[in-house]
Order: sequence, then structure tokens, then C-alpha cells
Amino acid sequence: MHEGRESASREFEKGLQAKPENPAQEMGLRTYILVWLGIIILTGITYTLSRIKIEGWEVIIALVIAGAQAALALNYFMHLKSETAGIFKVIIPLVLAVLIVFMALTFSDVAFRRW
Amino acid sequence: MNEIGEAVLEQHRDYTGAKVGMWLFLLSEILLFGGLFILYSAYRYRYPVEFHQASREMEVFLGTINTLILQTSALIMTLAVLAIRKGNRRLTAYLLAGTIALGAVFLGIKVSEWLTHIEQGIYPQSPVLLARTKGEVLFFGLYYTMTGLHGLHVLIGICVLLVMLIFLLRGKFSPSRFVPVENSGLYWHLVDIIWIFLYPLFYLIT
Amino acid sequence: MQAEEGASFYQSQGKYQGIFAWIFSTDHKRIGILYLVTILSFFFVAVSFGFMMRLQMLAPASILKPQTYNSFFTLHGVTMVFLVVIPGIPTIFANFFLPIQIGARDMAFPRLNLLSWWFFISGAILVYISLFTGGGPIDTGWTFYVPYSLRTTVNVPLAVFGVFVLGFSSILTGINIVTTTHRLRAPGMTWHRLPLFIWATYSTAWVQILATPILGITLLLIILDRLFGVGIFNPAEGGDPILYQHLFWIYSHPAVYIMILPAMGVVSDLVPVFARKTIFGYRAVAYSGVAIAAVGSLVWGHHMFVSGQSDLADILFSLLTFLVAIPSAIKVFNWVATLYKGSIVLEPPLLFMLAFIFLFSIGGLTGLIQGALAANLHLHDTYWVVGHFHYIIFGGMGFAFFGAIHYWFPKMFNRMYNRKVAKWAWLILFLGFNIFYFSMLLLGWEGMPRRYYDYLPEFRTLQLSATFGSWIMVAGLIVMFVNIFRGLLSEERGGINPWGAATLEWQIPSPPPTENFEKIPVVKNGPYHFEEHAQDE
Repeated sequence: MHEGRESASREFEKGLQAKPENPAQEMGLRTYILVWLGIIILTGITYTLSRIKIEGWEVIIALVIAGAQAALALNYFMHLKSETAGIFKVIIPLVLAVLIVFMALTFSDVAFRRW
Repeated sequence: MNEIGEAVLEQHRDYTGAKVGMWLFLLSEILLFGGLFILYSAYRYRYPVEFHQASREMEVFLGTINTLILQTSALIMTLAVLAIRKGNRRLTAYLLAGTIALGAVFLGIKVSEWLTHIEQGIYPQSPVLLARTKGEVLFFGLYYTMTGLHGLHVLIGICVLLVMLIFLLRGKFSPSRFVPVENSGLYWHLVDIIWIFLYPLFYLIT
Repeated sequence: MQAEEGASFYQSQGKYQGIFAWIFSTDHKRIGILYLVTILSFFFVAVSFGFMMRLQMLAPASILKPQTYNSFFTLHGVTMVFLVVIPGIPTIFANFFLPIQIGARDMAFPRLNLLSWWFFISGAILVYISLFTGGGPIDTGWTFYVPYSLRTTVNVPLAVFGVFVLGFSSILTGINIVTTTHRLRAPGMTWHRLPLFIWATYSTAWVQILATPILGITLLLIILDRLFGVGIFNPAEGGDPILYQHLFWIYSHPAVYIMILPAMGVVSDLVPVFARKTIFGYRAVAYSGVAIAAVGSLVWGHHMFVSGQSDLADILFSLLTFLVAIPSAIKVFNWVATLYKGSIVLEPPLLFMLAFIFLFSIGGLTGLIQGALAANLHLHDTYWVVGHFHYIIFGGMGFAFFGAIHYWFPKMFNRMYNRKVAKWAWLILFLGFNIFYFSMLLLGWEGMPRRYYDYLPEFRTLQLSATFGSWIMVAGLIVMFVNIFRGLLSEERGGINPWGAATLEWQIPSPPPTENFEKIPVVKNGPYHFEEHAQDE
């Protein structure tokens, strides 16, 4: 049983090495520096905007900017953009949907109490 | 999937699978903090003025510096993963150490912020805090809980990275074996992303 | 065909000896057995608490102090929910059979699997230590509602922390199941050739990953509030107890789907075998499980209709509750359609599946009744609810669990129990169960509140019948488990495929060898292709 496994191993190891399972090799130093700059600049923007009074929209603007920063970190620093397996495309939208629905249904209570 | 599946099955090593597992764990961490964000949003909705009032106690300068520190540490961490992929073990070690150092500075600043608040009498159950409005009490309850839980995760991240550094120095990682470093990086980035949301919600309420 | 016992996973030699070869093993089959032993032990403990509660409620005279009764129903709930029913099928049967059913040698993360078990044991130990330390055994109900859980002097922090640790176990198991299903399927094992047990366990695993952390944070907040007075749920400081209920039930409602979905998976796998007919509507059954996991995560407010939440929330949650019944009903219709004109083999596993279908239907329908806002006003916190959830959880998951034991027993142990005795045990269990819990439905309808240690004389008769029913039921449990244990010690061998099933676990020896397969199979058929798979006898 063990010998069968070894020869099968050798055969498939060749297969493994032939296919690059390492999608993150496409991103390099330049990309990372640019992404970092983008994140830093967005921090500056969110700070600056917070000093201006934009009635009612502050939370949304802050969340949008934070979301953009998170998207940069997720896609580039965390290599989501270059992942090929299907499950990677699903997980962030999934967790966002879950959180939004949880929050929305909770708010259907919190925001509509008449007492 | 078939050929890779069989190879995976026979070799007991699966690079993509290891990342999938880590990402699923990160999802659970997002939900953990998500519960607190739900509470935050409910209470801020209910006490908008008091939240604004309470946030004046926050030192925006320190919070902003800390944000930049953490975001830079995220870059350093990413470069560390790049370095080990290229086989440059020495550089990887320096970059890991750099990430750890920045993380430690972040924690140091956070602790000093907490100590400042505590010195001013603003902490759970303090007479000063209890004399304030309910919304302010809730703001600080959430502040200590959320930044505390986040800080704990930074600390855990630092410990994980220290372990990675030790393993690296013992020669356990190479361009074909580095997924623990990459997974540790994923964890570190999540800690950074959570802070990206905490920062405006606590420091930048206008 | 004789199974080759010499090469089984029980015999494998590693670097550890004796008990350590088990509690430090990363073999998914050994870990499944570890969970089986520990979970059954907790089941017996929790049944004992329940038995004592029924004795107390037998007559208006008290044998327990009220405080003791409160602790008993709390511990009965905590033990059953967190130590038996939630982990039950995933950690025992998915751990043991998921890798085999998909044609793999182990789970994706064997060491993480072992860590899950250690978290499970640690959490359980912490919970039970809390009975004897601090302020003594918790009395809050398994729901730990604030503000009472913040003020009661019993050892809430340690007990709640134990449950927090148990949550880790659940999350890690979920991560393992999802990754394994995605990455380790054998060649030819497409998603639509997977046994429906896998579809169900997979859907459940997502809920474990996504919902459990919400419980984690909620429990953490209780601990922080008790230790530091953080005040997030304390009304005196502006906190909202209803928000606690939201966070608690955002997990705890999906938790009941963590309980029932794998059980439904068991039914979907077993019914075709004992009807000698492929499942009716494979995709409907598979996808309805996903739908239950999804929609079931949106109905938590139906535990809170009378809590003071807004009318809008009441209406939305009631509507969603009615919607989630649809995929459940789809499953029931498909199982019955599978049985229709099938070649029925009335073996013990099938009896448990038939009981499931009947009892789950009652449980589900009573759930709809209490999901209606007007009815809920009268039924909330009465024995109706207790009857409802025991029909669903015990009649549903419990019977599926027993059925799974009877089905996979020959594969796991290469032994066979006495099938005639098993059928009698089933009958006693089934009769006792219905006398017991139907009485509860009636009691609740009449207005008897739950979690009360005493009652008005008008409830006497039904409380009597409930307690008598519980005794018959416990007798059935005893007969059943004694029969199982004796089967372990018997001479009769289980054989490779006593039921003539077609899923992969029945193509390998009983008990399976450590690496499961000599050669990873190449899958060409679906899981319910019976023509090629003759029975052993």
C-alpha cells in the first residue's frame, strides 16, 4: 500500500509543480507601495473630511472611505485579487451580506420602537 | 480539481487549502467584531449627541498616528511574505521584526491612551463616568471593549509573528514552504482592517 | 465477506501508547470515537437532570429547592444544547464519515480537528467546574438573559466562559468541514455526486463559522459586564437588554439549524438505502439545506415577539419564520416520495428515520403556530414552547442521532446489535416520547408557564402524564443503549455492507483502515446507485 502511494506521489508531484499554485507571484514591490500610499492618502482624506461638518453624511462617508481602504488591503495585501479558486470570490461578499442583514433586521427593531 | 485533488490527498499538503482554512477563520473573526459593530451602530443611533460629546475625550492625534503605524506595518508584513517567496530569509526576518516592532508601538500608544483616560477618571464604573449621560457611558463601554478586544488581537498577532520569526530562523521556511507566514500575514491584515473601521467610528465623530 | 480486522484504525501504532494514542490522535476516525464517548456521557448527565426535573414536577410537593430546580433546568439546557445536540452529528459522524464519503484519507486539517476536541473537553470541564466554584451552579436558563445574568450571584462568568471555549470548538470544526469538502473530494466526486449527508453537513459548517462568533462576543460581554461593569447591556447605564436578546438569538436560532441540518442529512442518506431507491429530488434536497441555513439565520426575532421589540420587527420575523418552513417541507415531501413505491426494508435505522419524519413534522408545525404573532402572545414561555422544541430537537435530531448510531455501528465497530431488541427499544422510546411531550404541548396550550418549579392544581393530570411518559422514554433509552453496548461485545460481525448501501464508506473494510482507502477511488456514480451494491447477507 505504501509503495503504491509513493509512485502515485511522484507522478502527481510533477503535476503540482507544473501548475503554479502561487497566484501572488504577480504582485511586486511597486504594487504594494502604491497600495500603501493609497491607504495612507485615504486616511488623510477621512481625517480631513471629519473636520468639515457634512450634516448627516459623516458616518456614510467614513464607512465608504474605510471600505475602500479595506478593499485595497483585501485585494492586494491579502492577494484576494489574484486568487483563482471559486471560494475566494464568495467569502467577502458573503460576510458583508451576513453583517448587513444582521444589522438591518436589528435596526428594524431599534429604529422603529414607539417607546 | 482531479489531479490536484489526488496529489493533495496523497501528499497531505495543500497550499490553497491552507489559505482557505485561514480565510474561513478570518470570517469568524470578522463576525466576532461584527457583533460589537452592531451594538455600536444601535447605540450611536440612539445617542448621537452623547456619542459626539464623549468622542471629544479622544486624542485624535494619537489615534491617527496609530492608524498610520498599523497601516505601515501591513505594508511591511506584505513585503515579508514577498521576501520569503523570493527566498531572501534575512530580509524576511528583518521585515517580520519590523512588523512586530510597529505592532508593539501601536500597543504602547494604545495603552498610554487608556492610561490617560483612566487618570482622568474615565473608566467603567468610575464616579466621573457614571455622572455623565447614558450615551457617554455606553460610548466608553464600547470604546474599552472594542479597542481592548482589538488590542488583544494585535498582541496575539505579535506572538504569532514572533513564532514565525523563530521558525524562520530555524530554517523551516523556503520559497516552496511559506504558507504559515502568509497566513500570519492574513491575520495581521485583518487586525489592520478592523482598526481601519474603529478609527473613524471612535476618533472622528464630528 | 469478512472484514480484515488486522489493518483497522484501532490497531494502528503511532508514537503514543494507551489512552494517549487516542487523545493525541489526529486520525479523524479516532477523534470521532472520542467525541462519541464524551457526547454520550454528557447526554446521560443531561438526561439525569431532566429526569430529576420531571420527578419534581410529578406532584405539587417539592423534592427540590426552587434554586436547585432553576440550576437543573439551566444545566439540562446548557449540557444538551452545547455539549450534545450542537456538536452531536457533525463531530461524531461527519468527522468519521465525511472524509470517507468524499474519498479522502482524512480531514483537511487533522491537527485542528484534534484541537477542536480539546476545546470541547476544556469548555465542558470549565462549565462543570463552575457548578462547584464561585457562587455555585448557574440558574439563568441556558439563555443567560440580562439583566438577571448580570446580577445573580451564581458562577455565571466561569460557566459562560466555558461555553465561549465550546464555541471555538464548533468554529474550528466548521472550518475543517468546509475546507475538506472543497479541497479533498476524490476524482469524479463532483458536488452533485456527494451524499446528501455531506451537503447537509457542509451547509451546517457555514453556519458554525458565521454564527458562533456572535455568541462568543455576547458571552464575552456578559463576563466583561460582571467583572468590570462595562455597562453595555445594563439598563441603569443606558444599555438595552433587548439588544442582548438580539445578539444571543442571532446565534442561537441558527444554532438550532446546526442541530437539525446534519440530522436531515442523515435522513436523506438513510431513506434511499432502506427504500432501495434513489432519493427523490436530489438537488431539491441538497439546495433546500442551503436555503434552510440561509433563511434560518434571519428568523431569530421570533424568540422575542413579547420582549418589547418593535412591531415592524415582530412582523418581519414572523414572515421570515413562515418562509423558512418551506425548504423544510420540501425535504419532508422528498423523503416521503422516496419511500413511495420503494422496496422498504424495516431495519432499525429506518424506524428512527420514519420517527424523525413524523416527530419533526409535529415539531415544525407547532413552530409555525407559535410563529404566528397572535398565538405567540399566549404561548410564549409556556410548556407549549418546551414541547415544540423537544419535538424538533429530540424527536428530530435525537432520533436521527440514534438512527445514525444504528446505521453506522457495523461500519465503525464491525459488530452488530440485536436488531429485534433495537426495534422494541425504538417502540418504547417512541411511545414514551409522545406521551411525554404531547402532554407538554397540551399543558402549554392550557397556560402552564415554563421554568416553574411548581404549578396550579389544574395542571396536575398532564404533569403526571408527562412524567409517566418520561419514565417510559427513559426505559426505552436504557434498552436501546444496553443493546448497543452488548452489540459491541457480541460475536456477530458487522460486515462490510450489511445494509446494501452505495456510499463510499460501505466499500471499505469494517472498521476502516487508518488511511481509509488503499487507493483513492475514482467516482463514477451518484451516492444512491444501488444496482451494483449487493448486500453482504
